[in-house]
Amino acid sequence: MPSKVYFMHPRAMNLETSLAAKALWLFEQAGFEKCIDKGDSVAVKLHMGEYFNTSYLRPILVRVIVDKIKALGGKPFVTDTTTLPYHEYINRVTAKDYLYTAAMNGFSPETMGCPIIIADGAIGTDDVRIDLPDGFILLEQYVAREIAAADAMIVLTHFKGHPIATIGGAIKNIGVGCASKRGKYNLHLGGHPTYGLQNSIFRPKLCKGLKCKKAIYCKNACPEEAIGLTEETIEWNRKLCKGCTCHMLKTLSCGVFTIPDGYFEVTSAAIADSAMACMKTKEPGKVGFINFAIDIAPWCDCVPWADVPMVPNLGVCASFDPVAIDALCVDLATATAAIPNSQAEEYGVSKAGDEKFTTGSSLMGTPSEIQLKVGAKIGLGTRDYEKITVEPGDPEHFKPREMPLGAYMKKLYRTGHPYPKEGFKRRTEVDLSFLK
Amino acid sequence: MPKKLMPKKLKLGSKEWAEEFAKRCNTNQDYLEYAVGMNTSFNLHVPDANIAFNWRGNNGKAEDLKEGLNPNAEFNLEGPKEIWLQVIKGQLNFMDAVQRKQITIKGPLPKLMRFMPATTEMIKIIESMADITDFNV
Repeated sequence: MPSKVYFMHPRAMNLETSLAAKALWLFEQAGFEKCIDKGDSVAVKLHMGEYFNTSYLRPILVRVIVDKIKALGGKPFVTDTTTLPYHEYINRVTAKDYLYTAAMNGFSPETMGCPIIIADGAIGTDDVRIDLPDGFILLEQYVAREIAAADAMIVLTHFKGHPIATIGGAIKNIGVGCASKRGKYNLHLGGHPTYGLQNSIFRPKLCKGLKCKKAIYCKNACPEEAIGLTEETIEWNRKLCKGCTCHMLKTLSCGVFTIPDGYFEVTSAAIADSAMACMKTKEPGKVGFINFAIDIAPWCDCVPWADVPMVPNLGVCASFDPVAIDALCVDLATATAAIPNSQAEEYGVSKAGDEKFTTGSSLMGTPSEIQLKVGAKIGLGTRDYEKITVEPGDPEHFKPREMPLGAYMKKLYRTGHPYPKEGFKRRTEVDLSFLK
Repeated sequence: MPKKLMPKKLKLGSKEWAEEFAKRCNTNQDYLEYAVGMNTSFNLHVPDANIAFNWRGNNGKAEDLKEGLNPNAEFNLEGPKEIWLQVIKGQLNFMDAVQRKQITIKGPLPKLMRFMPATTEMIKIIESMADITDFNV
């Protein structure tokens, strides 16, 4: 049986077609009010953007949902988790760093109207263990405690591409984003006997050692001190590698390390397993997903930059099914021609009908359908969706105050008016031909 | 004392230069080992110096090296002369230039990512050409 995915198109010309209004309207049309009972602790899960990333969800899109949850009697908190140290210039690896970055990006208790909680604690060890006997690769996973403890969850996802997972949608938002740092080591296959990064092919001959202009990164990359640089080359004690991916991006581009066969594919599968672990912490019907398919950068909000979007804004969708909602977003992107000068165009997947993410986003061409395929196999959801196009709501529904503005201002102007009594000093006429 | 023979300088981007580069790649055992499976076609274009070459990679081995651009090449590498000069002289990391879009690679890049060791070795070979390169183009 197909899952319902409620969809609103991306264009906007008035209040009720604003993305914020669409988020709120879809919340209601999809029936997410049923997720929330009075007094429920409600996690509002989102990615608040990496340091210097500029394509993450705008705070207003979150705030309207927070206010809605409060109006329903729920107790919302905005949340995400700490990251692995996958890039030398990221700043969300501890709760303290994340809160600093979130504030820089516009997310604070003041702007959200509720607490912001980094759900896996100071360094990512505050979690609960979930058994996954039917997991595709993971047989257990670690879910951030604050998220696991919440009664309900609304998952707000910026849908885009990802260099390892190929797509960053709802499945990844909970699969990676609700896993503690311990859980992230697990889903990134740290120490896995077959696919773990400790099995990478290592070619020290290609390294210039301390003579390389980038030596400072590799010298200081590894928290396990598994990597050392000499004057001429690089040394690596693979037995110490726990698979945090710290050296991956930098050394992939110089060829010193080659990732084990299957790493990218199996990690994508593990993300679906991990999403299943997260869903197991909630009663059925207590998690709703809203995907914003806008600003669809080739790489995730977890990198400290944002490239030109690959396709134009596609729309906003809502569903109880994380697989179905991501499947629709992938299909919408496939059906749309790429934006000129985007990575999709550069990599040759520019036409309507070309699947964009496998070539345009994945570092290694990992198929975008893995998360969907594995998600369907393990019972996370179904790829079979029914797209229900929702028309905009009544503007009265989204108004910021009871009275229309004229009546409101009339009262205020009684105490003083900005228009001067004598009018303004201006020329009576100007040369219109000069302006044309 | 016999006069020390200076190696003949080859004009950057000339057919002779490109042939020497291809020869060095095709006889470099490390490069060939890393490039096994790299079967594709390339254009190299330096528009502001009127340099254009295309070749076919057969397990990385440069074959059918020709002047001009092949409209059917799978990959197109393009960048201004100044940037290529910096790469050849070892002053600019090739991947940095690519990431900063100073050099563009058009084509399905994930296919090339598997051959990054070969790319690094190729850049080392390019750098080794500096001694015999006449940079006045």
